[in-house]
Amino acid sequence: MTESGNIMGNSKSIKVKDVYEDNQELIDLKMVAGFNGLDREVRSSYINRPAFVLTGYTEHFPAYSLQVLGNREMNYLKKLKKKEREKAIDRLLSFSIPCIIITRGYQPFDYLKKECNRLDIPLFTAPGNTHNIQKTLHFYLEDKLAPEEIIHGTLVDVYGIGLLFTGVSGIGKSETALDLVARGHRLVADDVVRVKRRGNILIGEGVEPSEIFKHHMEIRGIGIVNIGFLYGIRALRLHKRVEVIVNLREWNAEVDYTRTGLETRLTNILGIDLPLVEIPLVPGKNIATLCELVAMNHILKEMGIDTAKILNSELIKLMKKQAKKITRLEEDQE
Amino acid sequence: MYKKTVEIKNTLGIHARPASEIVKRASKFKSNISIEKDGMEVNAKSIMGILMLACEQGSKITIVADGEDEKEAVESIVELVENKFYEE
Repeated sequence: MTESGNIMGNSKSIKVKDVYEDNQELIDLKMVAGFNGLDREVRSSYINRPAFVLTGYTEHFPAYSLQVLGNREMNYLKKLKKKEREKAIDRLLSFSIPCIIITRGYQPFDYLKKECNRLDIPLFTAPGNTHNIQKTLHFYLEDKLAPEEIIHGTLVDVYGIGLLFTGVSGIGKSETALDLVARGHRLVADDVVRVKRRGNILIGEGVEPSEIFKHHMEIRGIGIVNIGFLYGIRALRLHKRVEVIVNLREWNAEVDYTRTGLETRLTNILGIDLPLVEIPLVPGKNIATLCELVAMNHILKEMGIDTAKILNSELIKLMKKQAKKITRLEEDQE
Repeated sequence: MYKKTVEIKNTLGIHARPASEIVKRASKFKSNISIEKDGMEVNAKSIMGILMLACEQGSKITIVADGEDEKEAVESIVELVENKFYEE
């Protein structure tokens, strides 16, 4: 599902060099050949085991993917006569693959090493079992290759619900977040939020280029403050699923704001529909209290309790009862 | 002051959707508008108030407005009720 989606539609890529550096310690990767090919790119989070290609079937081969040679592939190649083995290896290397990882501590065949060096295809070994290595690399690539968008907004965890505040500059997104933090909620990122799609959910985080910027906020009239220093570790969160979009806007008498809450308005981010709540700002309204309400009401709805719907259906029942009574009374009068 | 009495014609009566339609229309006028049913009077610009009247099909409500645009206000809401809130 998400895998094939990533193979087909993802335009993002990551260099083999980064995959190597970020996972070197984690899975004990050792580079054995193809040292000049570290600029090759991986374009899919799908990790392929090229057994089919080795045996001769080359259609539908995911050449964008990282190729892992495990127990099966290595033992199959070992069993082959030298010439056939070299032919199988040539078949695999005829594709422009990003790199090859040999698992379970198997040592590469000399021919494979030689050809990887000649073609600049990075070749690694790793001692762990194939499944774990595949899993580790898959999650790593899924994260690095996830479709993402940078959103001008503020992300706060309110009662465990990720509220992403949007609205024009100066409307009070940061101040609202500050209010929520003061009440015990947790700030994820202010002003600029990177939203990544992972499967069918969105994850939001800060985009600070360095740790020194994390969880800083600009409050108009005061300046730059550090939420971690001021409110402590409990006020911070590194990333959070984005669940509700809260759009803060100036009150406009011409707009019909939601009154009953029967219909959920949706907004689409990276192909995922999220509930959208529009809060008109009027002096005297406590936005933080309203935001806590938004979060709690969202939890309630997730639990299957939709207050507006329940009240409405009870009301309809009540009115039906009343309507019957009236008919009876009229009949009595005859 | 201007008032008019109408009968509720739509099958479900004034539930949440019709109530919010009434509020939407009422909010466009400057006059004070209220709705009366069986001696209970509520503000026509308040959803909860209108819902509490529980106006079933066949019941009668009186729309009362007071202000510069009272006549238009009442007629606008009467039109909505008589057209079954454009629901059916």
